[in-house]
Amino acid sequence: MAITLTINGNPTRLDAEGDMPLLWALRDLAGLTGTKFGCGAGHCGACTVHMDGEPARACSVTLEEAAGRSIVTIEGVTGATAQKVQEAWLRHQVAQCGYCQPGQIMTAIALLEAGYGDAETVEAVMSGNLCRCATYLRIRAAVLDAAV
Amino acid sequence: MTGLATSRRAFVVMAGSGLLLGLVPKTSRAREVHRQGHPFGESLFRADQVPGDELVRRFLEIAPDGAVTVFSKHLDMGQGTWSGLASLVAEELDADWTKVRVTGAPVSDTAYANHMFQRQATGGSTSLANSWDELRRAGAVARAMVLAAAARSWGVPVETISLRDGVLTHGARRATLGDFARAAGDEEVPEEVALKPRSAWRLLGRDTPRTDMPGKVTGQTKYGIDGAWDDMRHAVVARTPRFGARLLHADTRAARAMPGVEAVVEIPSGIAVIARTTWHALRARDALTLTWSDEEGETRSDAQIARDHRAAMDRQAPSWDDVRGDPAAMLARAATRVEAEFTFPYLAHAAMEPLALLGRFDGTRCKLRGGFQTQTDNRAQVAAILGIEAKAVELETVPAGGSFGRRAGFTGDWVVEFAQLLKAARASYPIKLTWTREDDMRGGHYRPLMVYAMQGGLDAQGRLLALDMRLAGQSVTGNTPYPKPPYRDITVLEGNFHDLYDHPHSRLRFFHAGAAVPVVTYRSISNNHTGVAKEIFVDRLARAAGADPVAFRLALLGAEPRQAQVLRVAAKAAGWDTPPPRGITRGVAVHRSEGSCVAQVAELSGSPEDFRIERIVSAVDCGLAVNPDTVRAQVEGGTGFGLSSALYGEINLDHGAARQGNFDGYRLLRMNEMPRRIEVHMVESAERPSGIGEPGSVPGAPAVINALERMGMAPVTRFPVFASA
Repeated sequence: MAITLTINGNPTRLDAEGDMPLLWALRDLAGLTGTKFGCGAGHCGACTVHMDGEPARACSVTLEEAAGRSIVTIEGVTGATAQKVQEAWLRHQVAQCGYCQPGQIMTAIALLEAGYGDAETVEAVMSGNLCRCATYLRIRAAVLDAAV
Repeated sequence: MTGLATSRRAFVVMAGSGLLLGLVPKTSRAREVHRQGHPFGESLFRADQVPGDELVRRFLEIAPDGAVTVFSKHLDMGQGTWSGLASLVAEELDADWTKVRVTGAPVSDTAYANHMFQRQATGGSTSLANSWDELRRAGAVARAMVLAAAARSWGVPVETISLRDGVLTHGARRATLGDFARAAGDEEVPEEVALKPRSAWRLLGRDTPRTDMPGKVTGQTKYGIDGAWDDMRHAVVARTPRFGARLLHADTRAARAMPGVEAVVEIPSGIAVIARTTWHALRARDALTLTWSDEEGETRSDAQIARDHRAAMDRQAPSWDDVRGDPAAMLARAATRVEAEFTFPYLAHAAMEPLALLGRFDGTRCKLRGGFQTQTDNRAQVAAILGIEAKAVELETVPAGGSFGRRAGFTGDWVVEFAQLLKAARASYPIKLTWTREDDMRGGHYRPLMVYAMQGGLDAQGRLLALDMRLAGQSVTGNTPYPKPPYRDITVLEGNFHDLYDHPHSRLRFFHAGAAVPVVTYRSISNNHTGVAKEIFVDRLARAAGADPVAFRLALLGAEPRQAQVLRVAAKAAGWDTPPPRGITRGVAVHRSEGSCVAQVAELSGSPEDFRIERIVSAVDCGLAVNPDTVRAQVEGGTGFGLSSALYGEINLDHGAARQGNFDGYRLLRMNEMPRRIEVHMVESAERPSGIGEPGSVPGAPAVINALERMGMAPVTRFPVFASA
């Protein structure tokens, strides 16, 4: 079956089953590999995208649920907050292996866009995203820096 | 012998195509000298014995627009080595750092050998030390030849031209490196090049932004799992649920009938499903009905394996036994005896990027793309399986989303399996094999389960008189073509108390105890258990002696001046000699691994049941810090990694099968468990760089555990300290 949704501003028709996770549709069908597969079960946050402006874990959203919605991935994220966050990531030289960072950045952008930027909330929310290189101190510093 | 004229002209390749100074896939004329057979040996490689143009060809390329591409023979798995290696070239070349890019070098067992391993491989935190000379020399030769070409073109003496940030100037004349890259190939290859003195460095020793950072922040970096070739299909493999079990029967009919499925093939490790997308493959894999043997291979629990390892110490002859002095007599005579037993669990590396490979085999040639860490071995393994020559196997090495030792396994299991899949599939299309998190976590190749029994004796003055330490577990090299015990297996023994602390009466015994669980190295090789056990035990000895833990260690570090120095620096920076703030408990640890020394002082608030690590003060001696910010980053992240392993990490086995399959069961440290602050102080060093990818992951955990024990926590006997079960 065909499912229509908007990906990074582009109306997109995907020929796939409705129960296919958005993660695999993005990676294997749309060729957008910036959204990472980390656990497939919503534990790690590596696949975080924005769905109608809200952070969502693409591994835990089906195509059916994403139909008609607007999906933004790391490849297409824009705006003042996104720019501030990505610049802060560069300034703090956050990434090591970098694999979890698209998910970290998408989570951080959504958090700041929702109006949160205090240290306690940043730590509580960002603790939902795993980083095996444990770049956590720099992630926190970058998010707080971008929040200013 | 190749004539000079040919070698001079060899700079120019594919003229007109934009590749000017560059990489030519041809037989190396290298005259490398390398000797040492183990990871911690000195390399006898002499970069000045390789012709300069050969070094340039191997390692860099200058495009007409001035962009410089550096070819890295080492894998970047997060440690920042691609950027560090590129800075060695860029420094001597005086390139514009913003125009430097790095890409993985193709496989070559000669041109791209790690001089410490005599094969192309990354590990033991050796990359910068290994390439320190050859890459600076490559940059310096290229610089000299570009300058010579500019001098000829402009008709001015070469010494009157200045080159900085990729721009050549003479009076009003101005050009970029790219403008003379082609002409440089016609110049004489200098016999001698002078490397810059340290005072002239503009990149080395400074906080240089990593070349890979923009790609990683915008999602553009393509890892092994992101590979995509035209007409590609996706595969997953159903593997044994239990280590050593054999597939008795497979009913694949339902899976074959699932939508999107292209093929279902049997391979030695299980059943592979090839489909249109990863998800179609996963769904079809769920439809397989597989029957595995129940009694072969490993049938024990991890607790039983630990008991068996412990029993091996009393029942079996040691595979390594090193004695100095008379420890038995001195222990009997000791005024105070301290005993400890530790069990370290199996650990999964759990890199955020699950294993994945992309490849194609057309019957005569094979090309693979992935995060390869042991290219020489991987290529040979693939060639042997496919029945083709090694030179018909091409490996494209891309950055890895972590490894922590998993990709460096001596058997190359994940690459071998993929070659078997390509062979069995006989497909006309490329295949990408993805491991799910559960496949990766339950797939073994763990840090081995290790059991320690330690006994120390103090004299009446509280000095360490004697030590007897035994450890039992699987050797990492035990199931490989590499030498097997008995021998001093550094993959198990490196970093232990007996070897690192200077005390007169001591005995170390290692008992190689078997299990059918595949094991490999884990970040810092063996130091993740030897160093942790050492630093907890020495702290308990200090407490039994009523001694200051820093002073007690310093008295044992007479033969380790670099460790003693970092310990002093960390203690001073932490204010060790003044009492901690109210409500704060301190712990300390120091260690040397992979040629670098790190000491850390941890400050904890709260209680053992509910604590926060407020601060960790670190002192590091890693020789010259090529990029101090990367050193800080590796120590910060390494500290978190080591804490995660010791406080939370554990793979349990039930009837030989791994219990934990994902991050709900296998706990990793999260941001709210990270120390609030990590300070890193670097000891000034004029030494060539040693490694920093691993040494920062060792002392943090014992420093924190020592503080917890000083807070009143019961002495740790098994890891993780906070077991979830």
